[in-house]
Amino acid sequence: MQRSLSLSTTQITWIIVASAPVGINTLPRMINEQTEQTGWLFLVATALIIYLYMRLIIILPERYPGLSIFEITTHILGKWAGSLFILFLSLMMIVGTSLSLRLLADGIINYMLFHTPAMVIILFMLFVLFYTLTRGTETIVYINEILQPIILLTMTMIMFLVINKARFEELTPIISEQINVIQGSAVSFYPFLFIFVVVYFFPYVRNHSSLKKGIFLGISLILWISLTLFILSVTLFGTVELNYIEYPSIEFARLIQFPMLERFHIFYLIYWIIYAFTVHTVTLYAGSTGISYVSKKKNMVWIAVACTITFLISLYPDNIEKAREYAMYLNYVNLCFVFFAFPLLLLIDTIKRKVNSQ
Amino acid sequence: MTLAFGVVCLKQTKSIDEQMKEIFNQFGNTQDLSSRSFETLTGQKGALIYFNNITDPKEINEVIFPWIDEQGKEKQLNSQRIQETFLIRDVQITEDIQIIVDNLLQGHVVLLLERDSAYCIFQAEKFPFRNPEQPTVETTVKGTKEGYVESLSVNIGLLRRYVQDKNFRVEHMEVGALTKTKVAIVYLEHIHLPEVLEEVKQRLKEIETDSILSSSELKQWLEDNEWSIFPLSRITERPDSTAQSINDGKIAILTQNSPFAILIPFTFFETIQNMDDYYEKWYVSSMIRLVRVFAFFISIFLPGLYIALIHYNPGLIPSDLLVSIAQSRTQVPFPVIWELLLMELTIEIFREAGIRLPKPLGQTVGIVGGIVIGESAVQANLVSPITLIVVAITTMASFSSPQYSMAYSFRLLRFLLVAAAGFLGLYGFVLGTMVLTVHLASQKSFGIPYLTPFAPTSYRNWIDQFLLFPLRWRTVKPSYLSRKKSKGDWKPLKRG
Repeated sequence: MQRSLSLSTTQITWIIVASAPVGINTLPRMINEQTEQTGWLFLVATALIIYLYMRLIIILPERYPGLSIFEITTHILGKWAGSLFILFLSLMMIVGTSLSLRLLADGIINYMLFHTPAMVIILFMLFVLFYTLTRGTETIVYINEILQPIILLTMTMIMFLVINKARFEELTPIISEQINVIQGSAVSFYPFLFIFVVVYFFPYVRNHSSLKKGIFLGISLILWISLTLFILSVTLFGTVELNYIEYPSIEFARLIQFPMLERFHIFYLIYWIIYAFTVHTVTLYAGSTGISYVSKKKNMVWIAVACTITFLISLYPDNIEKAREYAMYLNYVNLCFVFFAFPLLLLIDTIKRKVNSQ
Repeated sequence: MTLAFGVVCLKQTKSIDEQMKEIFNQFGNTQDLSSRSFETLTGQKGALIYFNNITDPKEINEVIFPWIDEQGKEKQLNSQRIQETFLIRDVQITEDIQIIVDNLLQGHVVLLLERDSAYCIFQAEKFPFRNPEQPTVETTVKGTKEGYVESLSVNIGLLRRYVQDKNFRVEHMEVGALTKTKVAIVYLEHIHLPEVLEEVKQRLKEIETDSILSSSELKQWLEDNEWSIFPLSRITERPDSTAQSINDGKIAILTQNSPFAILIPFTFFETIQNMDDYYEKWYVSSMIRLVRVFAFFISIFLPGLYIALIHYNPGLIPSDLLVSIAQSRTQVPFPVIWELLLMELTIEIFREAGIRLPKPLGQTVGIVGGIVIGESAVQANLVSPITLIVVAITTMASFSSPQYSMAYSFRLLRFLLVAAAGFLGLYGFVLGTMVLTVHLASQKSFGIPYLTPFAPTSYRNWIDQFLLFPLRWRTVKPSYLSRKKSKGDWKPLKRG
């Protein structure tokens, strides 16, 4: 007995939260390099822009209720252009997942499995992801509903455990020549790199107001996570020291002292693995369903293909620095393509509708 | 004990001997099929055919024979007269030999009469079964002290005593081509979800097997995913638990010859629920439930975590404890994973042996064996004391689940996580946990997601999950189980 999936506000919220890339772990340092302690203002401003942008995008499912983003795109752009659009979007998801997996693997090697090759770490994560994706959309939605609240609670708990060591005067915004506004803005978009994965879930949105609320809550929670990470990193380490810390969020977990546990930051890494798993599930789901739609073949086959491609790409960067560099390039491509392509899609649709109505 | 009494008539076209032979041939001359010939005062010959062990001899000797004797004093007996004068039960007429066979198998008595075109079948079954006794698997402190028995009608009667409502419905079906096991689908008409009921009936119809001997077997046929490591339906031996479940909108399936009822749909978080919870104050029950949740985590995760920490990340363990563990393990020749698996296997053997042995002996052997072998294993440096403690705590914790079949799942999962942790440390352990979470999230029980009410989230139904809310808060049915009501139609049971 099957019941068709209908996404609730809570479910949409968690899917959006799951779209924040694993690289958010290193975000405090990346933003700090460009904007110093003013970074939090950039994050807030970016979140506002993203919210407005998403409000624009969700006009599409309002106009085409029940249709997937693939059907909407091919309807607006035609078969070939639409397929190309989807393919590009899906490949970007797969590349993003690959780089994110590589960053995670290097983090695990640094802190947990010192002698295990990155290839093994990535491969096993991909096995689990493959199993997850073959379980279907509903399962992906449910695991986020279960795991994301736990992740957020852990995050909040850690924040409270280190908050007594924070020096909040470090956060006063400054206007300095060292602040690179353009670079800083680009980097601050990073937490929202995959936010558009929500478009892949359009066919399961029955209630449009749930989508609006879910997007608002989702963006707010991503902002909360990235702000917390940034603020804690700056207030705990200071802007100068932060530039030399590879994984700021793991390092501030080092400051936590429990009588029963030593090296608490390794437990914190567990939290990051779970978080990475939820992110990769959503992004790889988007990548595999995209190419599956274009090829008109069974999704199962394309899940395997997407996983294989992800594995190969993830091994390409020589080291963690290269992986981070590529991730930033992807961020720029994302900014240029996605943030212009969807509004363009909407514009074309509006023009077509006006022409047809005349 | 049940006793039914009635008559079914059948057209007779052959002589008594021929008919008797035909009936006996159907059963291959089995020796427990009996016949008793008689002759009435009018000289009319006849015979009764029945199975010895499933027919009530008292009914034959004290009801059927006196009645035939009385009725056959002056006039010859025939089907018409039987229908008119035998008023204890309805009379059914059939010409089908298969119906006679089925009736005999159900403990009925066939009456053959000379010079009459009809054969009659009296219903006088008496199957042996025990009286309701205290449940052995689901024991409670304050709950009812009676459990189901092997008789379907007694079990339905027990349930009717708990739910005296006009909407109480019972539907009978048969499963198993050879065993023809009767099953009863029980539900409350105004509460249950019709789509779940339809699905239950459909799945029962689709069962293609010769034999269904128990509820546990039937349960496996009905479940959504036979490959799942978790039970996707609940089994109970308590009528009060069944009554509460059907009150919530669930459907109960009772099986002939089985002292268990199947309750569907079933969600994962019901694992921590026990009938005793509802007989205690809410805060006491909530605390007990939290203890069960803690035990659940220990039973699944502790061995895996132990392996991951000892093998890969000993730095996470406090220094003093680490030194103590290291000292206790210095003489042990095996890696910690083999040490742990060896002890787990030993415990499983004790458990299995404990079940098979007679009850008083089983407990003694279990305790003596456990202490002696455990102690000896430590002294012989086969295992370290800390490993023994981990295995013992885990085993005890795995039995804290009120659902017995879930305890098996927990034990199997433990091995999965031990293997994952042994291979990739904490990372493997987390990945194993993720596989487990995904598996749980992908399961459904008759269309209801297994992780309901947490995924999908339904805040209203959190009143009876990890924490038990006060009684007045629990006056509404679980929304995922009960039929949606129009506004004003819903009358929650006001209690307290």
